[in-house]
Parts: sequence; structure tokens; C-alpha cells
Amino acid sequence: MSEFKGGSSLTDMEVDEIFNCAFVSVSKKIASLNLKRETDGDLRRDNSYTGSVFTKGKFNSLVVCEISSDVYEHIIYVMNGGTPASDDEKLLYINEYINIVCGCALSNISNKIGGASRLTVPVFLDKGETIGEEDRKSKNVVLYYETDIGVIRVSVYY
Amino acid sequence: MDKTTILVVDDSPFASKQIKDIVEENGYEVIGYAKNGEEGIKMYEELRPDMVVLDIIMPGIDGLETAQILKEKDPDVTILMLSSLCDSGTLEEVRAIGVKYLIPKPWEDDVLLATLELLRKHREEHLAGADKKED
Repeated sequence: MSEFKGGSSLTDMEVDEIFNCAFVSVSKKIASLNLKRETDGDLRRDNSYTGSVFTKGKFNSLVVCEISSDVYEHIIYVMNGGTPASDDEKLLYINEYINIVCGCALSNISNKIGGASRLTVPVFLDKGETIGEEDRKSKNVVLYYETDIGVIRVSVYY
Repeated sequence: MDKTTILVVDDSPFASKQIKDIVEENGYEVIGYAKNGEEGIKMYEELRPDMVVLDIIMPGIDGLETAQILKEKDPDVTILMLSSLCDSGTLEEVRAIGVKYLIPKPWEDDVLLATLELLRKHREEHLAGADKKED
């Protein structure tokens, strides 16, 4: 992972609130998923998918989204109109989910602090691959959600 | 009456399917799908759709650059941009290229349709005006 300069004029609470609002509203709208916010919990890393997105510009950050496998399959199923997607298409659906959620959050952040920021295309990490230590040095907020079928954990390093 | 034709340029099968489902129920015809900007530019030149529905965040060149190139090749191109990024800064960038409308993802279907209808009318008026000048 390339190093980035984090930082913004937002507080942890503001970043948390903006990303929370984005994840909850977008997950409901496009994936029919009700996210229940909980304090940080266990996510079995051998049974989850991890995608990451960088934001660059006025608000620099790394957003890491860990999704348990049942939630992953559910998101794809709903976004594909209630039918299973091919293996080739699965990542495209999840990428779009992360793109829309993070774009929604980033738009609110940009409107709040001014200036413009951009998202990179989401990248998925292979099982066992982790985020580099250099990317963990900035401030971070963690959002942990439970659903009826699994969990999502979002880490925003900024 | 011929249907208004649309080229969708978006790497997301979710967005492409949603757009197809809603617009084809409402008098439009999607005549092509491109997964990135380069492909979109090539398909525009081949298919010459009436409108282009264009995402911003894509692999390769982004939608803003794609729109700029399309405008250079055809100043009359009609583009509707869709994006998860819809802050005022992005809207300014879109307008600076000469694209009038940016709809946020996830969109409301009635907003998408109303905007396409506005663009369709603008296009017809523009082309009618151009025809008059030639007479």
C-alpha cells in the first residue's frame, strides 16, 4: 500500500458520524441490509472479505471495509436483482457497494470542509493480506455493525 | 417515433442493469454498454447514441476526462453524469466541462427519468436550432 498523508479539520466524532450515516443509509437502500451499530467485535478473518479505498485531495484517508462472507453474498444477491452473480461479477458488485457508500460519505465531508476529494477504485485484499503499518499511523475511527446474517467492520484511517 | 438511444458508460453491472431496467420502461433504448472511459469513447464514435450516461469513478481514465474527450470529438454530445461523488466541488468540475447534470448514486428513479427528459428536450431544441441556421 502506498503511504498517504492523512489529516483534515474534522474531529473523530464527525468522521464517525458521516461514515456511519453513509453505511447505514446506503446499505439499506441498495442492499436491503439493516446495519446495527455495536462496539467493536470479532470478525473471523478467515471467513470475510476485505476491500479498501483511498480518498485523496482535501480529505486524505484509507477506508478498509471487512465484510463477513454471508453479508458479502447477500449484498451481491440483492444488487443483482435477487439472483446469484457469476464469480467474475461478484467483485464488481461489492466494489460498487463500497464505492457508493464511500462516495456518499466523502461528498458529505467535502461539502463540510470545502475543496474536492476523489476516491480510488476499491481494491480487494487476498485472504491473509493485511494493511501496511505505515497506513495505520494516522487517526482512525472504527465502525462495527451486526446484521441478522453477519458483520461489517469499517476502519477509516485519516 | 424513434426511441432516444443511450450509451451507458459504467464499470458497475449494478448501475448498468438498473439504468437499463428503468429507462427501457420509459421510452428509451440502451444501445451499448462500456465498462471504462476508453471503451466508452470508442463506442460513442461507432454507435452515435443520442445520449451518454456516464459514471465518474472508473478504472483507467475517469468520467470527467471521458466527458472532456467526448465534448472535444463532438461538441453536441449530450451527457448525463452519475456518481457517488456529488459534492459542490465535483458539481463545479462537471459544469466546467460543459455537462449540465450530475445525479448522485444511489439515485431516485424519478429524478433520473426527469433529468433524461430535460436533456432530451434540450437536445431536440438544440438540433432544431442548428437545422434552422442551415436553411
